[in-house]
Amino acid sequence: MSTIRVVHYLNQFFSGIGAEEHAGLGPAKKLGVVGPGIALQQALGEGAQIVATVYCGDNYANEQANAIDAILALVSEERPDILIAGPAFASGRYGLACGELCVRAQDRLGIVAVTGMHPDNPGVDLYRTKVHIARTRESAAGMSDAMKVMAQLALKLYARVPLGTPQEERYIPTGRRVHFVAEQSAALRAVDMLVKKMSGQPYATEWPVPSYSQVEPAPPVQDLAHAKIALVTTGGVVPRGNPDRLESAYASKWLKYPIGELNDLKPSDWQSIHGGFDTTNVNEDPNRMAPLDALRELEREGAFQDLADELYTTTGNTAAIPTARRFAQEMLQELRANDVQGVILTSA
Amino acid sequence: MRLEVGTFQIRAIEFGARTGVAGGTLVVDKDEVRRLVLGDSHFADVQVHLVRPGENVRIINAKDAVEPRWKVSGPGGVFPGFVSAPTTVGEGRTHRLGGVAVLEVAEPVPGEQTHFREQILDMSGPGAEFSPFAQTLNVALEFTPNPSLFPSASVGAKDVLGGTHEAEDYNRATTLACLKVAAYLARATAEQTPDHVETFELTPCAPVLPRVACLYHTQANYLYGMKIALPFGTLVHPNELFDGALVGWRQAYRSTYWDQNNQAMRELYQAHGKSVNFVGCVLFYDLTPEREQKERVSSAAAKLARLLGAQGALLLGINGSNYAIDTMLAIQECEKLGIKTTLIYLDVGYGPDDPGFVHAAPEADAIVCIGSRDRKITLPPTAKVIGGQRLASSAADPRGELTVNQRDIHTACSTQGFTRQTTRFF
Repeated sequence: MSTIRVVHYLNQFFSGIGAEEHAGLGPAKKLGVVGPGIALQQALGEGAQIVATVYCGDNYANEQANAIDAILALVSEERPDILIAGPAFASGRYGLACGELCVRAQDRLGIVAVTGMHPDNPGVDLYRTKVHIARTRESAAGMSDAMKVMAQLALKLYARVPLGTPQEERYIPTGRRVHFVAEQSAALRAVDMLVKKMSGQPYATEWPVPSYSQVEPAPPVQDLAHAKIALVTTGGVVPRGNPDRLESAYASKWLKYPIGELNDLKPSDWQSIHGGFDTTNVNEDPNRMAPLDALRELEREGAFQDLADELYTTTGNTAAIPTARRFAQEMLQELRANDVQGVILTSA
Repeated sequence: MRLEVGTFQIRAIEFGARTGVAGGTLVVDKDEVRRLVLGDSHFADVQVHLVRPGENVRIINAKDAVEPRWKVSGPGGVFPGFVSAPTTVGEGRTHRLGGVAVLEVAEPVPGEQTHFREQILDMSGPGAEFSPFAQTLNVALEFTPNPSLFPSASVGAKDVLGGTHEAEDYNRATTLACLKVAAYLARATAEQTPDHVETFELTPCAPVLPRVACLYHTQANYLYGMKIALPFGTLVHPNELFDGALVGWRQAYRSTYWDQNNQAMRELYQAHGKSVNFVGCVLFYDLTPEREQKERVSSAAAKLARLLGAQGALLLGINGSNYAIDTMLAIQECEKLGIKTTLIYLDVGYGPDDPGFVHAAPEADAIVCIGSRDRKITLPPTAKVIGGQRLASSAADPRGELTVNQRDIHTACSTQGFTRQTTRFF
């Protein structure tokens, strides 16, 4: 059997070029292993060989147009069977680059691609459903362990051996569901599990709960009298007729509408299309979901400096958390660009 | 409380001149069933269908399913608050017709809340693997409302859970009619000897066995005939459920039949005296749009478990709505009190991005998964449709091929413990 060809991807730091000051470094390649690649080669064993290490600065990979394609071209030249990227641990830009590179390697080169991240890495939310991500510790203290997990995942995927559960194989759940008919009823399985749990025997949940990252409340606005405030709602408030077809559940987008010339939201012009509550009352007075009337009054009284000229709106009903997080990040970018210091956020 | 349940195992069902059970065959007097139903002025008509496993039949607009039972001795009667006085049941002897269900079939009426109202029951083909009532001999009652009750066809529902008062009143009438028919059918066996008898009694146990309660976050509509509002939970003996104290259909999530035969209670009975000491059941559920209500109901449920001296609790939980928070809070409260929990739970995830929980507490570390609400299932065309011309939530021809969600299949997402459908997460 011929040796499996592996390409390893690293950022500027782990490839030994340097820290943050070298984050603008463009894509490059060295033959064989580099730095932590030694541990990866050990974990892969004799059947697979790291033929080259491709590396790039984190800023370059995230900010330059076509950066990922340029990295992919260097990977492709080696005709690899497997790409292993990182691990990126908790490093955000590194994680995003690893995730995107793995997706493209899978899709365009048709090869196995695996990366590794800490569950809080922003790359996890974006890529966990698309590539296998080994669950790592937060920092490089977990390097050798992470290499073992990534190597094992990659070799199994390459050999088309079905993977076990994320708990057994130590990858971040991909969201893939497998349905089947169990031998015993749910009730019997639950009683057995309870007896084990009460008596201190080992038991395995059939469905691990996700860990949600905690959102720290923002500190109060320092100088409210001179602050610009924006009105944001997840209550599905849209111009009557819903011209942009905002969904009543599972929203795929957020929208903004000019309110700079308005003193309140008239029921003849506005409505809520939210599908998770009885909208009768809100549709009689849309201000009760997006309180423009009250905010104008406060603005006149000088409670704050002024109100942003646009209403930011989406539907919160049954939103998946990664989608909601993306909406927030996108809105935040615009709000910051518009010098908004505070937000009134209303929800259904 | 000692309850004997005598089973008449039914293997065939047919219409005949006189209702009765003989040699494993249930004979149904159709005219008498119609008279029983049409005595209630809510109905203009009722059609009585006999539907058997394996038949090329699709029932649409299915709602509750009820097992025929009749109290032959002991205090009270079956379906207290509906068919008999609302006094405590769960003692004496009850007869049941094993393998038979009375099905409530009714198109939505004006003003009725139709969210997740679709309930399709295929008696054969791939859909039959998902509904327990594809395996029972069914007496399906298809109701036609009295037109004077609903003069306007365009009443918008105000209460997102119950609909208008008129619609709720009508739905209670269809429920009551099914219970009456179920009691009537089993009553025919009152003087006969059952094929076998099971005894249910929470006998004293060796103190070494861990005390276990069932914490049932129930979506039933009625307890002893009263619309359920249990902000402080309540304590029930499992035998009360077996006698039909807890009644009502809620979308794909529950039916009366599976509380008369609640599998969590039955398995806890099986384990009673062997690996656990089953000490009783805590019911909890309230409308909880506000945070304080959630804290109140979940804390009270855990307190009742504690008063029972429970060391463990088997939770039947609700997922997919704001009540999911109450289930998770109850788990947290129990674990805080040192009561170990397991949870029977439905995946409501919509695609791989969605982990499937409305809310998840880290303490919920022992979950049995009963499958995925939005799993897609394709049903082939059918020869015959019962239950109207229209599906509840689609304009598709009900006779044709349909691709539906698991939650659109009758009782296919029940948390009452019987299902073997499950999902694993990779």
